[in-house]
Amino acid sequence: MKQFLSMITIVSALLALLIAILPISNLTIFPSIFAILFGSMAYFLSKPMKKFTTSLKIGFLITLVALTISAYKAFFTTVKVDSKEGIEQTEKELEKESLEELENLEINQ
Amino acid sequence: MRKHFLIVLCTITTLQLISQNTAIGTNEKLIFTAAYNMSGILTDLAEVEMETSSVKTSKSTLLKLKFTIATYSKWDDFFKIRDLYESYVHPQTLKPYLHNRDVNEGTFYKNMKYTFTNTTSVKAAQKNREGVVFETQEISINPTSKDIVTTLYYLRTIDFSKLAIGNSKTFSIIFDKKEIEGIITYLGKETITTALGKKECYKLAMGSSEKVLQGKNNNILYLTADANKILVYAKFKIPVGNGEIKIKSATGLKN
Repeated sequence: MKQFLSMITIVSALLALLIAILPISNLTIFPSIFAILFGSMAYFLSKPMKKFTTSLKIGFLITLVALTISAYKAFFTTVKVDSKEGIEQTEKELEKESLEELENLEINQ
Repeated sequence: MRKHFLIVLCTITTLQLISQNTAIGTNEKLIFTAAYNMSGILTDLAEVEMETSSVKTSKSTLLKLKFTIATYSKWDDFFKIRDLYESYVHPQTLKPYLHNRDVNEGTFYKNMKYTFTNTTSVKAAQKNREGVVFETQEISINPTSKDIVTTLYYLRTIDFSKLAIGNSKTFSIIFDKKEIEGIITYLGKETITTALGKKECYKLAMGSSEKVLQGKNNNILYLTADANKILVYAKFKIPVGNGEIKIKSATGLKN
């Protein structure tokens, strides 16, 4: 049972790390909660004594790293559009075509 | 005397019926952030821009209304959206003359041009990525029909102070080579906090004859309750999820 919970902790922690690296880093919280929850269960259920195994330590460490990355991205990075070149180019072409067409239309001023 | 009175009355009534643009300037730029709900967390996905400019032909001066959507760079490797919608309209009445729609979303591409040749029909032309027109069609329309961008701007010419809560207005919109019906219901005034500060807004519920917008009051627009009536916040619910659009900056306002 304890081994199973430790395994889920590691998997959740790795998933949290993966999500933290991706643009969806604000969703890191969900696998992190799972990792902490299952890790804690594995810790408290361990018999004969409550003990931090290496796998649990690794699981918690990865979760901490994932949450740090996610928090850094949330507070210190700004979202921006680097290039609108495609739109600008299309706009120029469309405007030229449109003006030619508008010349042939009857427009009431 | 009675004849003169009737002429004056008719003129006033006619002027009131034709909505005049007193809200939209010629160098206006509104920038928004569009967020999408992912597992209950709103994630900023794209930048939406609404821009106006004056365009001259040899015979007239028109107002160009531009609407662009571009995904933030961090998403571009996963899905890249670069959409452009633009309309050439009469600066006072916002009567549309030409509408372009260029949708570029990864492998999906669509370019449509609608030319409002007269009041009862519109010429639709569709081009491929190479710029070759492969389909043209004449569509019969309602004389008050507008394209989607013009309709968005046209909302700002409505005098909401004269509407009672619950009053609705219906619009005929040309989209995807057919006419759809858009319904706006006035829900009253509400003060909300925006990037431009606290703003008293007209709250409007959007609906349509198509199943694009879901729920009765899930699609809401907030237009400032001032002379500019700019869009500052919108929330939407569509078949694939829900999200919101929030204003980031506004420059070149008319009033």
